[in-house]
Amino acid sequence: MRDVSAIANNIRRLRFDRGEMTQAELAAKVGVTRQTINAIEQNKYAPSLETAFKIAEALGVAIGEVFSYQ
Amino acid sequence: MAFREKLAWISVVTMSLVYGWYFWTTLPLARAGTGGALHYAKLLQGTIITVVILQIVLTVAAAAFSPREASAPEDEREKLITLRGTRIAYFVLVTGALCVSVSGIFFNTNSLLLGNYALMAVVVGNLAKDFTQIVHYRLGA
Repeated sequence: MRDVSAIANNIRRLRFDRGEMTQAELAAKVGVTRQTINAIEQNKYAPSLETAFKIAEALGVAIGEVFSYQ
Repeated sequence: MAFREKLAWISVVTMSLVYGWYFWTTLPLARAGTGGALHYAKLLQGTIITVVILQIVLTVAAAAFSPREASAPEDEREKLITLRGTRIAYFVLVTGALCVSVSGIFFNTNSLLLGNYALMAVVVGNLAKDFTQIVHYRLGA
């Protein structure tokens, strides 16, 4: 898998800021499985640019607020 | 557990059991050079039909428990996991094919045994693919 150690994300915090949106709900909006959202959230998988934009859109924020490069 | 991980488990269990029985039954006969090609063809036919039926039944059962996941297409991470498994399977299959070639060319192995070794390479390659996928699903990567 891709090296994701340098990419951080705020998905968990953003989900809870939006009425405790579940991983399953976010997954349904993005069009991936709940396990994939979980893997992204735990920094085990780096999503494609398209999926990253979809996640940001589903959370209603800019992509830079969701993902950051360290 | 992800639906596609369940499918990988179904494949591992059914192929291990059914092909395990097939090789357990046929390899001693093939080593001794007994049993005609028709005998092996019948056994192999039964084995393939059994694997297909078991996999269909178990896949339908798994889909019944999670119909939404079953009808959804693979997402990008699942596609990556599938590709990773296929790559490992390729190396296992090539290694198996080389071993079969060496066995036939240098050790004068009989054709019945060679045919079964080639089939074994295909089965082991498929199991390697499934195991690789399961490991990646388990790791969450």
